Amino acid sequence: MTTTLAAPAPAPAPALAPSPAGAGRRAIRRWAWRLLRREWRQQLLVLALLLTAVAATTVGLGVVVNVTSDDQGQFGTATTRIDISNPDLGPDITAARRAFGTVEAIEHENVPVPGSITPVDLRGQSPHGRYGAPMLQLVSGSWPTGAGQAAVTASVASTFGLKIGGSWPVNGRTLRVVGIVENPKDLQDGFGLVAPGQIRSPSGLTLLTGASGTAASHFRAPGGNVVSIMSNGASAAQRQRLQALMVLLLATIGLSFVGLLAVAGFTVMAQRRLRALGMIAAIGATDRQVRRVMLANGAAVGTVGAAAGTALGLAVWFALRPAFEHVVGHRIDPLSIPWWAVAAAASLAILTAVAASWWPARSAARMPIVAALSGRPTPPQPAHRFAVLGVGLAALGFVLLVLAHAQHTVLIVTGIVATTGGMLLLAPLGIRALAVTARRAPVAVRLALRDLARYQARSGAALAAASLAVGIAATTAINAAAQQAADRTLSGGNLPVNQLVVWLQDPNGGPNLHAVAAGTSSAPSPAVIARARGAAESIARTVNAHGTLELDVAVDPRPVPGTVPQDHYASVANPVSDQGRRGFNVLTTPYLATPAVLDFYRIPAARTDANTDILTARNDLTGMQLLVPSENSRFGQPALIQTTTLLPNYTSAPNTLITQRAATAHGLVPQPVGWLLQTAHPLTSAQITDAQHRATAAGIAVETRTAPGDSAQKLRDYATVVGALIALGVLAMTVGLIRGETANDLRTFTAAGASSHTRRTLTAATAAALALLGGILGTAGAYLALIAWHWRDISYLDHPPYADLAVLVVGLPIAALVGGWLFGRSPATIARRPLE
Amino acid sequence: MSALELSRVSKVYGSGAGEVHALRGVDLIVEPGELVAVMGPSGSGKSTLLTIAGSLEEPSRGEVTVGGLPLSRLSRNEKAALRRRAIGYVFQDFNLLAGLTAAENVSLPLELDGAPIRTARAAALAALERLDLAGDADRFPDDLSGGERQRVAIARAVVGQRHLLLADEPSGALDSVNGESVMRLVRETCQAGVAGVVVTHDAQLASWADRVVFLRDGRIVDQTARPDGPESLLETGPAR
Repeated sequence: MTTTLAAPAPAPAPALAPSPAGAGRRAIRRWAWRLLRREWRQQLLVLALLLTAVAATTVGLGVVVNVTSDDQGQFGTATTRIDISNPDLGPDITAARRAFGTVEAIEHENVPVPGSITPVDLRGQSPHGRYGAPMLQLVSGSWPTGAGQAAVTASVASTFGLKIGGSWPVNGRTLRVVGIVENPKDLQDGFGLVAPGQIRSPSGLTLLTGASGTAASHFRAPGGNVVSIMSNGASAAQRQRLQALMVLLLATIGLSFVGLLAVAGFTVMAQRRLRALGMIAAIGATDRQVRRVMLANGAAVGTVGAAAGTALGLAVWFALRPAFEHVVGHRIDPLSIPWWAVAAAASLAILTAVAASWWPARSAARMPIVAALSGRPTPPQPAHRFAVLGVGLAALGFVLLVLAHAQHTVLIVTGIVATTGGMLLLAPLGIRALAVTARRAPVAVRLALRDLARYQARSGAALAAASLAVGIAATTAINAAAQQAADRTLSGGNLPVNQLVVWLQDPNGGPNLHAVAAGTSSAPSPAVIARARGAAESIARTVNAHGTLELDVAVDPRPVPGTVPQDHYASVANPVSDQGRRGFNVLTTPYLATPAVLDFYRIPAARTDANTDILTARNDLTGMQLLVPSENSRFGQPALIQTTTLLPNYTSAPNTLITQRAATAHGLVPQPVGWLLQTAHPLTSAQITDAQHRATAAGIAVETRTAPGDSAQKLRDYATVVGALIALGVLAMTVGLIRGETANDLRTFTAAGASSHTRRTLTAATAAALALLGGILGTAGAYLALIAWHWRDISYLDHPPYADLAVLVVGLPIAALVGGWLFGRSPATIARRPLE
Repeated sequence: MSALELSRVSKVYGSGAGEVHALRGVDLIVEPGELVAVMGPSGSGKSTLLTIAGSLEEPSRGEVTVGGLPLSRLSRNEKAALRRRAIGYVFQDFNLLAGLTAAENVSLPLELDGAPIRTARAAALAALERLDLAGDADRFPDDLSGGERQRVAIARAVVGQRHLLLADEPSGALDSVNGESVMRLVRETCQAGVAGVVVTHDAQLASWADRVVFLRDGRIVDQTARPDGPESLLETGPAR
């Protein structure tokens, strides 16, 4: 080969005119897209995080909007509902039509249920009524159209053993069952349905009208007694406001979560691509172009994650809807989700991903090219700078939430975002503090904590995400506990799902709990009590209960002229005065605090003041008097009432006890009124039906839970478990990322003789440290936000859910420690990292 | 006008007790068409000299001029423009983007500079053709051999109208045959009028240069004219 070298021409001075605006965008977009396609496995983690968060937000939006019924179960499409007892149907309906124009009448007749204290409601209602149509849905069969036909709900069919084509004896006549129906807006609503005009012994009448509540308030029924007038308008508007607020809160928190996770993910991606970014800077990319590489990648990942997350969320929502219907107790239209919010969440997820990639992009662009080319991470910024800003943001969030008064949405959203941002910025300080404490720790722990500090950009963001997950769980648990405490007189419903009371006579019988019993005008005889006790023990055996707990009331044995035995019970009462005459308003009849009852609720004698008259779970009895029938002329001092959380907060359970000392002091004697049965698992329909049959045979009645499960307690527990699991998931991903990025260190560590035990300790210590910080920061953040939210009544938060908080602050690090140890395998050796 | 001029350039890393002097008052002038090899032991400042010459780092003291433009007076964006248009950089470990094809890697500086995609691709294909890689234009780096990858990297460094080619151990990751081949390409590029600076440990490869500069402890301790190498026997015209 022959080469001739020409004399080189002198090079002209290079031109430095700026490139056209947007130069290189196409190349950068192409690279970003190719990166996503070629290296989707490396980005799978970030994609999975985004996808999960968007899917969870989508499902959450469906849940939030549909969790509460829209009151159509009671009102249909009417504005006002008027309930009348003991009506005279013709005159009452005529009077209502004269007053309001269009009125839909629903007639009611009580049908006794053998062995139960709750009758079934037989309704005369048109399925095509002007207002009530949404309250009825045909499940199978046909609508009742004429005399002698009825349709029933599934629960009523089960109670009476009915099926389509069968006969149903009702109050002296026999109806043929032609269909199974339901109230789609209230699946707990058990009733029978006949055509309008087929009710023979009306016990009540419901009038649905479009008139306003104010107009209806003056209505007087000529025949019956108006017992309630309810208006739907105000509550509907309030509910819509609440739903909108919940949607907004969920979207804000969900996207904050997405943002924090994405920051962690993109920081890792930026670190992985540091050499590639250094290379394009070396060949002439401007800072803006380097930033765009990461931003374009963020947009691509965000778009794919948002689209896939939305699709997954909708699929999960459609799949879970049937189960969710049973939880919330009403039918749900699968398409009744806030589509605008779903679209907004997906769009915002893309924006969030882009915004989350901005900080790593900025850092990468500002990095010295030579340092980037060598792949060395920049030294972490001093944590105190972030901490100052973090404290400022958290304080700002606190003030905004206080000023929001739980109403002003802009302040609420800004407050949450500021608080979340504050947590993100405070996280590095926590990590640094932990690293400082590592000086004297074993080498694996020391290295783990120092790595956290060394890679604080990603570990800080991931810690903030884990803290947010813990914070959401803690907020829900704390709030639910506070709500439970505040509503202590009513919140639990009548009984837990795993308890049953066999009543001889219900001392606190309300509208749905009437005494069935043995005696009508005299106290039950020993023989009647013995027979009832035998029946209770028989029922206990059939439902596999742990024995029976006898419930006694304290009875005044001294004669009181003109009273029935039920009036002989000692009770807790409020002295009232009416037109100069003084009397008592009875609040509750306490059960006797027998050793068996105290033992059942694990109330030690030491926890009870020696002078206490009444022990109660209710917080509305303070200052009340103990009313003893033969002493009722005495207006003495208030009873010594001691509240305790050990007693149940169910209306039909022994939530209030009179102490043995007080009973003896007032000369009261015990009288059995019922037996409480508790099973290990929730009672089934078959068990309840069987118990009712046995009770009927013995001339007594049973009571079981009438409302859906213990929502507040369940909510607390679910929130705690879900929050802990999400936090653990975030930690697993984060620890995997951090340890993956330090694979070379680990290789050196192994070469220096570190055993598998030491390597596992390294991973476990990383996970546990992040979990501990996440638990503390999350719980502190939750309290900060809740104190701000309930600023006007901080005492609302006086009942912390210790067990749930212990799970989050102590259990989570332990779980992370164990998980890190079990799954802390060494990553594969990395010989040479490719340029990505 | 010199293609590259370093005047009293010093570079200090760290401060106080941890201060490290990577370069101490280095003077170097490289003319257009000239190929300079920089040799020296590890830690002598070779790579630092190259990164400062390529505007990837700033000197602690002294002045660097590329094509008559003093780097100290240029903004970050102007330096980036200079790297896109005038300076080509070849790394030891190729530094190709795995997500882009060979042609796309080569056209990247032009595209970043705003060149239309067709123009940029045409220039990239021409550069690859010169390096006998036209058939590999649409292959990804992972599918290329080490020698092919380094030739793609050289094509990227020379695409467009470059004045200065900087190569940091360009044959460090290659076997001797490919190493020689790469140096031949660098040499040919310089013969077309581009000034070149190559950092190498290998004296045989340095023999391809017009001049060899020896660095020790951040100072130029010696420089030699190009020794007569085997290529000189092939030259028939006035070589230098």
